[in-house]
Amino acid sequence: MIKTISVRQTAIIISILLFANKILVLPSLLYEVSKADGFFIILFLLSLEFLILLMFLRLKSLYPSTSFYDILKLKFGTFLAKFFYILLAIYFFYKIMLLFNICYMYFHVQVYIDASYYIFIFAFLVIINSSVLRGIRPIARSIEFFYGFILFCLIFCIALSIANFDKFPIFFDSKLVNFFDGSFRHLFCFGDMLILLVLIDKVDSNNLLKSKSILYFFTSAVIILSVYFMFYSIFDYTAFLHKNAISDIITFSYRFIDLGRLDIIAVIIIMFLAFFQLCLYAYAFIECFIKIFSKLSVVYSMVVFDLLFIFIVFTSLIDYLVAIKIGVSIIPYLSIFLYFLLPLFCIFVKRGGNDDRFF
Amino acid sequence: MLFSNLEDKIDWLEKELNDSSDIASRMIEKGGDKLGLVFIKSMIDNLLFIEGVYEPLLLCENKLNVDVLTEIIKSADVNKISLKESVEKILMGNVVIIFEKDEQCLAIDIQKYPARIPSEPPTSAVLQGPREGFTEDIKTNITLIRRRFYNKNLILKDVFVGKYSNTRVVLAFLKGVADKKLVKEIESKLQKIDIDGIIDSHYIIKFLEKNPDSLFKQVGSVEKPDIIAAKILEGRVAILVDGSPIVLTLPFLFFEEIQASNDYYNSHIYSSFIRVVRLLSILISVIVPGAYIAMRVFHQNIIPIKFLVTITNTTRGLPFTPFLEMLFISLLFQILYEVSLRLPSYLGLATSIVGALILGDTGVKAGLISPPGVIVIALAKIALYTVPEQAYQLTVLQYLFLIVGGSIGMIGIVGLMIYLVVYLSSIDSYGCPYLAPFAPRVKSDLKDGVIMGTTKQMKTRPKSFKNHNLKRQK
Repeated sequence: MIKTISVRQTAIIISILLFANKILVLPSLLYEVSKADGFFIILFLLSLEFLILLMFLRLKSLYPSTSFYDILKLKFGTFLAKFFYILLAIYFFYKIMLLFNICYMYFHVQVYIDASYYIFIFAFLVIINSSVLRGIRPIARSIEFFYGFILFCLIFCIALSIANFDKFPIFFDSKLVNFFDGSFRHLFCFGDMLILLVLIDKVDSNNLLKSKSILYFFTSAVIILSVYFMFYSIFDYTAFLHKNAISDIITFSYRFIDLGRLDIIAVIIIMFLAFFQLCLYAYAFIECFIKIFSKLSVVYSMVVFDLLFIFIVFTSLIDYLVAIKIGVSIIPYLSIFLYFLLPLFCIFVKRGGNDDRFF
Repeated sequence: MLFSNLEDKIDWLEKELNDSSDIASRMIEKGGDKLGLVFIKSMIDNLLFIEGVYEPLLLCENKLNVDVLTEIIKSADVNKISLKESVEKILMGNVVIIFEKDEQCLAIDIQKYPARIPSEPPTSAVLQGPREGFTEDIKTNITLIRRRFYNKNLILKDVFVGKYSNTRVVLAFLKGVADKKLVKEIESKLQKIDIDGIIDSHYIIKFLEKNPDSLFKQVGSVEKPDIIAAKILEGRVAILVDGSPIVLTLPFLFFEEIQASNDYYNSHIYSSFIRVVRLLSILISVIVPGAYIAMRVFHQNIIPIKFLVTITNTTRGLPFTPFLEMLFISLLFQILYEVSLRLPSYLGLATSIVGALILGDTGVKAGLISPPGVIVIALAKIALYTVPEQAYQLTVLQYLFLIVGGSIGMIGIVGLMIYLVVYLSSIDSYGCPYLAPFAPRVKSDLKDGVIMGTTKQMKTRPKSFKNHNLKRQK
């Protein structure tokens, strides 16, 4: 019997995943493309992310206890199902590398000025390995355990940043083409809801899934939008210089200077988020890997993941800059297929004698 | 077994008992009826033996047979048994009467041995509420529980464990409330224990735990009958072991330890505040030394400037690295703690003086350790004892966080926290998630979580584990 995760845990995972790669470096990257109108880009991209969530919910209602791999097999046959899973595995691995590099840069700048790269590799790999090997249920429960703390701290960071707020951001200062260009090029920071497709058979089927998922999604979306709003308000024309949005909006809070560096709250929260998001991505990668190579056990798949990760990190094959470069060049095309076309095909394409569940 | 006379029966019994020197036997002959009494001298109540058994036998004018003696012996616990069964009964402190002409024997339970009277346990002292605690005598402990339930649904089940000790272990639960499967599972686990002897209830804990190699406690241990009664009412199963004042409970959840019996006898607002303090104390005791060392070694830039100046001034010229200094102070405290536990009480004051003044103060003055280091460790060690039952596991965690904080800094501390929570989330206590009601969240059980509701608001039994009857009140 598959050990399922509860509706609340699924909703919390949705909420936690939504923060991935969005509240650190992305605000400044978006500012470079379309100035403060980056706020609308994030609004637009969050709406697209919401579409993926809706597609997941639709698929879940159509196939309550079938794995995504089986759905793909049913619709497209084994060969194509495996091919799509290879694409998903590549995508999840890229996300891991991106997240790892962004977090490494962030921690290095903020609190680990003299620390070695190996500390991060060691810390992340130990936690990812131990968590993934225990399964999705303990991961989901742990995220549920810390969720209140994470949410409280994020809200606290935004509340602290209000002390620095003195004017509204200048909107509509860039061309419409920048908006579309920025949206397309920064698709790589989105698509986190894809993990849900891999977890689809492990999510408890319940009537409340839809409402709770949407509620938690919007909670996170509001927090993300608040971070962008405060960031563009506080830094205005210098926003492109500040690469760590959530930290920077409180670091420069001169009113609290006597209390020391309050951005430590943001650092701790990003640590929690990074660990959980990496665990989820690694879990999704391993799930895909096991489906592709059906004879491999979880332990062997994990070893393969570790070796791949260590090789790429040690050879600097994908460092921070390379990850961003791949993200803005190749990943958007892959994203369009994986985020939208693949789930849409699964919903609309009818194939196989037993499959009569579609709109 | 066929015996021609009473002497043969007594000889056989004494041989079965290996001619142990504390075995006593008496023979009475009256009106042609012969009977023998066999018992262990040190295990019976002498006064009760003379007044309740021996004198009635001597004064009896009727025939001395099983039925007559059952009537005249002044004891509430008289049982007809076979000669074979009498060996076990004698070992349990019964006086066994053997008849020459009858195959049956009589076992009279007048067991007596030195036993403590119920007193307040040192680890569960209360300001308000019942003060009695369990003793080493299982009969007293059963009485202490029974008198809180004048109800036929309180069921006690006996299991005997230990090849040589043959220790009596009793399962206590409420019929119609506790999960039948849980009771059966515990009973079968107890029956499967193959060990030479059980000296204390802690001996069987490892047989009941599902992850026996884990650092974390997975079986509840309680010293007070009021707490046990409350746990039985919730649908848990209590396990009493003869010779132990610690009663075990199952299923056990991690957050049970932050609940104290005092919480239920005070205002729920005050109790909630105290529970928050306890939880904070756990965090302080486990994380603060590690976080302090992480900040000193890796993240000096996040320490507020005023603190940084103080720390820098007081740590200048120390011979140890920050990590070794903290480890040294921590070990010093640990040694003093171990010594104070085992030293006779009259030496306690001397230990305090040596510990606090000579080792602490002189250590700082000699420039071996720094005052901030002493303060951090002292705070962490004191905070440990707000939850004394978990002190040992928290101590280990304290050292783990210290090592991780000193080795890789803040990311190690956060990582270890996540590792521990993931690990604890994977533990299952007899079908109940170990971190419930927080992970997974069980909304109705949160009323007895950190923030407490009133007794009136706790309308249902815990849903974190299986109960047959969820309703507690209308």
